[in-house]
Amino acid sequence: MHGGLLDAAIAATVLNYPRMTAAEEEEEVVVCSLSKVQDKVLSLVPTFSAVLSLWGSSNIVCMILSAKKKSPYRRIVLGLSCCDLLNSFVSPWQPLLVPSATSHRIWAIGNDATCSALGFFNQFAFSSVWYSGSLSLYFLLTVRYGVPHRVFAGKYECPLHFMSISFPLVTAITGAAMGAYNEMDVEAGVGLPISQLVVRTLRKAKRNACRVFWHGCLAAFPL
Amino acid sequence: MISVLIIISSNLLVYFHVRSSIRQSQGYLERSVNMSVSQRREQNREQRKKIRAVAAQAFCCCFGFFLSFAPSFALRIVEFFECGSEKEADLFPLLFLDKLLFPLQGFFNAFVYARPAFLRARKEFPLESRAWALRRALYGDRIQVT
Repeated sequence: MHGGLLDAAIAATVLNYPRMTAAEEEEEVVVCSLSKVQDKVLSLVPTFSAVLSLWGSSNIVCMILSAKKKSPYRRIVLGLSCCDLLNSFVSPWQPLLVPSATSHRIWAIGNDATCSALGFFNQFAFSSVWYSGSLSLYFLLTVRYGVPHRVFAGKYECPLHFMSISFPLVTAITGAAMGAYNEMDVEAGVGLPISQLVVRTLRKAKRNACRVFWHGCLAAFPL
Repeated sequence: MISVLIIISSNLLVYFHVRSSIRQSQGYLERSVNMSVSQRREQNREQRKKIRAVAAQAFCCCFGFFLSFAPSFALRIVEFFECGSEKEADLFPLLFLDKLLFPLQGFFNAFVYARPAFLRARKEFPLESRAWALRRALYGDRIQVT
């Protein structure tokens, strides 16, 4: 029910995404102020982190799969680690697979197709955020409300897994289907423009109204 | 955003619940007349230990998440205040932290997940080093006692 409403909302948001005029697009073309060394550092650092993360996540997956004891906590952590594996695998490719024609990244060798693929996986990797939320919910229900593990497994676990996977997957597919992925403003990466859309809309609103910190918080995470 | 709100509110509720549970258990044990003072103290200590262990695990999960997502969160806020690519050099420290910490969530999670086993190993084998306990927590009984 929730998923259907949210999907409709996302589809409506993407369909109503305001296309930039030629003048606005010209405004968007800016020269990168990072030095070559800084750009190289930013391109290499994720590789180092991703290797450590791959090691950590694969260790967790091995530990859980080899353990005899099964519990909702372990299954949620397993889902979280699988999403982290995907995230760790995608992160190092970000500076490389952005379109070489338009990107100012020093090692950009990609094209629109690789950018879209990267955007898709990047968006889907945000399921780890959903799984972190599920884990917090698990602690809340078991510690605060004393829900037994058996009840949690039967009543809450399946919807949590479903939401954690389906929502990022639907948004990732929607973004790819609309050809809407592009390089983000500040970060050397690719993001779903829903978050960019929120940022741009709020920027326009900001010119007319006072700056509200909460707006920045809203734009801080992909919907 | 929904997930972040869930994480923050859930952990706050867990924190307040743990705090009130500890206080309640203290009051209950102090009132109970069938126990000796030493028994009360022992039971109180055990109960507090268990609640704190679960709360600590929840806190570590939350801390790992926020450590890896905080720079990304900050970048989006900066982006909102019209900081485009032309100002990336000024934001280099933040960009560096984001690139370093964002993919590290799996690494943090490994330590959070192995933490209870690490603490057990430290308790069972107090003569072994921390590094040994960590390896034991990660790889199980394959790591032999030295």
